[in-house]
Amino acid sequence: MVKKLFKHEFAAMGRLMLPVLCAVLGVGILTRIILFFESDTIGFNIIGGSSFLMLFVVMFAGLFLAMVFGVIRYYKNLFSTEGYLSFTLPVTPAQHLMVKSVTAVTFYIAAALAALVSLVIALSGDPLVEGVKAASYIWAHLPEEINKVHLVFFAIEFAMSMFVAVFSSFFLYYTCITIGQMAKKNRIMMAVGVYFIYYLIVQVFSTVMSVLFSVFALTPLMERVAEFIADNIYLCGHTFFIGMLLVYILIVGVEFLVCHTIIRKKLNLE
Amino acid sequence: MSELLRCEKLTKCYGTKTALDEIDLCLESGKIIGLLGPNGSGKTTLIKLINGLLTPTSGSITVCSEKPGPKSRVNVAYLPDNSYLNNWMTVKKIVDYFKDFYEDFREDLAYEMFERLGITPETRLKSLSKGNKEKVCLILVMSRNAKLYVLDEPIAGVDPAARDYVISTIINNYNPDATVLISTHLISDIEQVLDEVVFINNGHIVLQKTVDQIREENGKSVDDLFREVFRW
Repeated sequence: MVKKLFKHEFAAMGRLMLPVLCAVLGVGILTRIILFFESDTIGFNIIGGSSFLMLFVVMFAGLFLAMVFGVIRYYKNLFSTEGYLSFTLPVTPAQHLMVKSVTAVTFYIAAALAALVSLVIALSGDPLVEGVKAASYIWAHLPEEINKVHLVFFAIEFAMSMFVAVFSSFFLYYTCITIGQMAKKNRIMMAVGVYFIYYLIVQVFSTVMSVLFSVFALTPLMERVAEFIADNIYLCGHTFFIGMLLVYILIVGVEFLVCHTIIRKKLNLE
Repeated sequence: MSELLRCEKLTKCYGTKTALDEIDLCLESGKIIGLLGPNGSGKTTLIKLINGLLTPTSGSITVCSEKPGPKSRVNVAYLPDNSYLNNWMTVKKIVDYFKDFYEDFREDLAYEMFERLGITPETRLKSLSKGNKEKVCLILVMSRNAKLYVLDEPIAGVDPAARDYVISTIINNYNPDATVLISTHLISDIEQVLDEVVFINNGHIVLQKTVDQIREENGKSVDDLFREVFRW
């Protein structure tokens, strides 16, 4: 059943996202074509600059649309009239949530990759070769005290955290929409309200943490902590990145559980 | 005949309004049953509860001995009172969708009925009229070999000729061992195909009898009895 759900979910999301991905790649190719006619004229500077500006706008628009389409798809397919079909399929709420989130994240990553490929296409030729050479040189000439293996693992841990963070972003919107469905009316407004309450809580929490940090920053205890970090930079670095990954996994787990419980026990389609 | 649906003290409230009030109901297999009541009587609420689209406030409901959920949905074919299809889909895509998720879906039968209506597999749903969209939904539902068909207002808002089409599609295509539960307030159009009726009013079951019982005991047609029970 999950395989079939994926098949139809990818078809529905692909219908929306494939033109976006093509547009992102298309602008990269267009920028490269414009750069073929490079010259020192004012006209070229304006057109070349505009094409790069357009490239960056389209790259970020692709990511933004991937997020928006993923969230709208969740709402429309489960809580609008389409929900009458989705929730009468022999499929569990967990399967719905899993398939929707994995598909949305896949297209978000596809948008990020399309943006990267588009940038590579636009810069292909001398700028790219020079960039790769510079990066290789920096990597080869890193100071000996920097352990490259640890750097690679930092990158892997960071990438994994970001991957789970994308899930968490989608699930945050899913959770707001799902809680919003518990309202008797104005369910979309309720979802927006839930989002702002969440945002407010996060802001208050981070402000309190910043204040606490600044209060304790100059105390002997914090100095000892700073010394410990400096002496054990790799251990602390891995602890930080893996801790971040675990926090994101915990957040996704809680958000999944909230959505699942509401759909399973409190579903009330209008 | 085996029991298909059982509701015990089933209650559904929307805030302070009680849509269904401790109803007890038992439906058996192999019948065409009319769920009859005026607008706002609780018909759609009951149907949504059967399909698990609403959560009961209290009481219990079982469909084919299962609580409404993924297992019960294997046996229930549901036609809601509004179109639930994706407008961007073609007829072929929506048929594939039903075929993928419902093992009892009879693809050949669906295409046969579409052909009779002059609807090709490549037709986009958004290009169809409202009436034809409703017929597409009905064809998809009746192409299943389900144990329980739940049809919410299938003949509301359609012209008399289309009503005949809808009724004939239902009686010609349902699985004879199954039960068809049809909710409507247009009784005269559907009375001739009903075996049993359930009258519902203000969230209460006020009557459950076979059509033969009504004719014998009350000496009236279902339509006449309905008008008498629900007179303003």
